[in-house]
Amino acid sequence: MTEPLNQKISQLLDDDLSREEALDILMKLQKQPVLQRKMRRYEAISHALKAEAYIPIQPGFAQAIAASIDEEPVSLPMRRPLAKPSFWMLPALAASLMAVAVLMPQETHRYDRPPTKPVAIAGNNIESIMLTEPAAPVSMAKVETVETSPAAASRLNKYLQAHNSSRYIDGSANLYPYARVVSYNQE
Amino acid sequence: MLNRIAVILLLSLNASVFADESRPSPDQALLKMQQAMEILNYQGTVAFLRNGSLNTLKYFHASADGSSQERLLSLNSPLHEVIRDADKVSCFFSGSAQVIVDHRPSARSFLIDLPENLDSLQDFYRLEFAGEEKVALLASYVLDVLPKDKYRYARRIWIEKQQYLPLKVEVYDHAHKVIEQVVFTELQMQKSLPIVDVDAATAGRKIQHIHGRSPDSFDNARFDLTQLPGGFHKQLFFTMAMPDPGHPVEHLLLSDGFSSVSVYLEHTKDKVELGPHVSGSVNAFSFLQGDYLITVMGEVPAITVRHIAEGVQLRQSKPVSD
Repeated sequence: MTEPLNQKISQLLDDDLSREEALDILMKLQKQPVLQRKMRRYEAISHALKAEAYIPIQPGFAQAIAASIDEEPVSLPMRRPLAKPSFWMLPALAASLMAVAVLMPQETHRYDRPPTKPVAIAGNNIESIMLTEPAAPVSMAKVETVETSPAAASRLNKYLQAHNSSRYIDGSANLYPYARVVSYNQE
Repeated sequence: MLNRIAVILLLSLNASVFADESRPSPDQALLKMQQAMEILNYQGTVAFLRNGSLNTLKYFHASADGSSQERLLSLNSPLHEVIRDADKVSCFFSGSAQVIVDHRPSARSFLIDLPENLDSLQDFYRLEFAGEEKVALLASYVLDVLPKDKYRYARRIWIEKQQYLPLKVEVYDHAHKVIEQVVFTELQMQKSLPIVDVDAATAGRKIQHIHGRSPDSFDNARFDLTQLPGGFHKQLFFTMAMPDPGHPVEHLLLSDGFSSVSVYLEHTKDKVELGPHVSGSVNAFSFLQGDYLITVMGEVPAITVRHIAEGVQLRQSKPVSD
């Protein structure tokens, strides 16, 4: 009885059984741990013969992976319920496609930033000019942009304070020695 | 089959016509926004990205009996509250218990500068819808304000579709870089909001008042302007008595509605740093004429302050008095 079973296991590993015979032996393997161990040994021998190397797999390896997968939390993205197909769906789809075909060439830039023509002017100075720039020539040769030194920043800060009230938004008005600025007119 | 296509085409055309009818024109949207900002009561959380720093504040706009008030409450250090009334800006600092009341002849909205008269705007800006988007979960029209010359920055305004409030404003430099951004992260409409009585709130506290900004005639200025970019007009002129360096500073405020530029003139014999300066979206240009330091600054491109500066001329008849 054992010998034909061993034969069947060997044939199963070599894929030599018919579908019915394979199902039969698999049913038996599922019920008999002895046969399962035997199949693993045959599997290892077959693997070693074919690959000329042997990597032992611990018993229960596959079950451990299956158990880990079972313990993984499942999170599914929210799905928007699909609208029921209606009579108007096909014409609406056709109309949309037509609208896209007609409007696409002029609408593709819609969410771009406002159009300007970037980067011009020679040297180290970079300037850009609006597309709708008038033809009038610019009187200055160069426009340089430099970081402001602390001394100049102090003066500019006073000016900026007078220029608009945005300095109050970030609270930076308080960081400046304001008492000196307002002392001339304090009540 | 041909009949069916004709019907479909007709339906799609009708839909687009209805869509255009329901949507206002760009200048109508801007006008509605201007009115909504003034008369509605609303509050929310606003993030200001200016000069490279991000500030998140609670925002309140109250309107009642023809007057309105803006209130900003900081959520991060330095903790402070700013209240803008029609003629003054009051700042309450939590840490130092300091109160500053800055009396200004013309205090503009913290959210966006808008011209009082939109009619002349289209000479210098092109208004275009750039689509529709959601900001703070609210559907909005995306309106581009595109300058027609190189003397001002482009803006994009997200205008809420129901109430026409500005949900987001971005200012771009000529290299497409966002140099200023104001955005509501949440916004609620209210039937009414209280208008804070600043005088009562500051009673008994030590206050620093900033005065000395009584408007004067520009004829009394020591300087004149020989060239201005189109659309920029003189808004205010006054003389500020600065304690440091200890003599008066003349201040002329110019504006084209969206952008403002200031021209300062002061007498100086000190060594000062001249030329262009930049701080975030603010450009400035300083130069000397005789013993006078002239500085032009504003939230405009560098080329604009330079252009205005080149047109500043001292008036010969004005007596020098220091």
